[in-house]
Amino acid sequence: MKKACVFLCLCCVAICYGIPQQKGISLEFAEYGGPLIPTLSRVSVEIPGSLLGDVPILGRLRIGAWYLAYSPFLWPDPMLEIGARINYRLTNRERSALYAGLGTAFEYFDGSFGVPLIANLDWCIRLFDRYSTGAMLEILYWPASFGIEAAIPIRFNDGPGFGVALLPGATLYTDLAQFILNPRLAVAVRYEFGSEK
Amino acid sequence: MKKKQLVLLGITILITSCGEMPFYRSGAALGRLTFATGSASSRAPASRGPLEVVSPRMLTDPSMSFVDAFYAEYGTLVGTFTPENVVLPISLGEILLFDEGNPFGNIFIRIPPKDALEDPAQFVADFASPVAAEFVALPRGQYDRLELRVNPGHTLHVGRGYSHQPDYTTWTECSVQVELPGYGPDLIDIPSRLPDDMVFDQDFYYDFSSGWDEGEFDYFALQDQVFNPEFGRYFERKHIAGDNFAFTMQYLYPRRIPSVLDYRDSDDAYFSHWHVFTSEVNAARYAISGEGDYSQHTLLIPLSPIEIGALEKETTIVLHFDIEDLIEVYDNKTPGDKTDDIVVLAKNYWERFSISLE
Repeated sequence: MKKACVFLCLCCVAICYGIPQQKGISLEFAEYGGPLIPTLSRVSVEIPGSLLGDVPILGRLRIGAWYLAYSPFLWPDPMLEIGARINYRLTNRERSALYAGLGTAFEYFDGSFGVPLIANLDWCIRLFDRYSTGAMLEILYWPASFGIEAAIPIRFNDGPGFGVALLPGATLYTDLAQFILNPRLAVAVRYEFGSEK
Repeated sequence: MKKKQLVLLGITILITSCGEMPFYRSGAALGRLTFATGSASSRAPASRGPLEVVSPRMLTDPSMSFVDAFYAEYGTLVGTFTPENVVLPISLGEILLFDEGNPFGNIFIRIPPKDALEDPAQFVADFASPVAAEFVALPRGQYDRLELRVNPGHTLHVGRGYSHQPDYTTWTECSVQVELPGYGPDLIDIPSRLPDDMVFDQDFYYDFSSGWDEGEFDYFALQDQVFNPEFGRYFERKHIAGDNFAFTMQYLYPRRIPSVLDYRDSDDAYFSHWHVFTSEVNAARYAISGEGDYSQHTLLIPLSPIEIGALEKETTIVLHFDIEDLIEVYDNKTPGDKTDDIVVLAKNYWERFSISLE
């Protein structure tokens, strides 16, 4: 499975096209499996900074917020998370764009809560028209514990309108006393407002 | 300027990050484990039904054979009796899930979680009325060993949490109530005795003299509690009514010379042999190498391989103690005299613990 993913990504990178710029607000619902049993569900919204003003810096930003629950249908039990982040476009080449993000969230679970620092890198690579891949790396930090999430998204029909994405990846969470290494697979349905041009 | 703002934002979030990490966020299929205790009238594993016994009956530990010599001196077995009630203080310090398939090796789960430590009831396993601990999240996996560190011997707990860093004081009772037909007029009360070296050397002095902020702790108040006869009963036999008696668990341990009614440390198998409640010692030590030595409080329960958290989100681990015919009475080689008869736990009593999944 891993070899197949790597091979697929290499093939994709070899035939890259330009990266599209997100013009409108997008909504996404993702179902995460651990790796095959549905465990997490997430609904998120992403707003391109360009919608907030004509300042050049805003053109490089994407602002996102999400609601995440440890249940297949967004039910907030036994864990819920509400978070927000800002992604900043570091590079924007013909074929790819690299975003770095910073965010935080509030988590409630089993009577406890957590507020992590979330830092992420999101490398978007354009494949064929309206198809894209890339790499996503997310690091979460709580006092005395942290998590790392990595995924290789494969997005179909990327751009305005409905699209679907597969997000195979893996997570590592630890409080240094316990480690949980888990392969993870997610399926996401996405809708982006606006038109292509 | 823009980069500075981002760096400032990052530092701000870093400083304000707080709380605990939810393992749920990994997306792993986590089982939720709760702990309960319950009596078991039979040692036979139940192959069907809601309870799945996952610990085979403990193998007889050859190193425990020294106890056989004690029983050989007790005389003829007069009868076996099932107590109405058994209460054991159990310190649920840790569960060790030994996952062969996990590249990170053993996973230690501390139960009960910190919040539950505020509830003293969770330190007492009453085998007549089960108690349950809080949920803890378990990573999905197959486990071949689950080891509970129980504290079946002490009536006294000074502090909760780590033994070397107590943050509270409490008492937990261990008692066995049993009806011994025909013994009502014959067995006199034996008042509580504390072993000389128990409180100061092992619990009291050590716990509260090292690394402890004395400003937050009234040492003398606790000392009064320790020696108040209402607390800390250790070696006691008490006639309740009729033929009913209450014993501390320590009284019922097999002793070298049990006919001596006064307490002597040297007779106490529990104190003389640190592993009196331990089985599968070698296997357990192998599993937790590097974790330090077990104390005499440890009860280790090896498991058949179990799958936790595959589909269901909740798993209850139930600790059973088979109390049927738990009490044995011997005639102390004086068949005509009941007053010196020996009341003791059944041979290999430590093998009566078992674990099931619910």
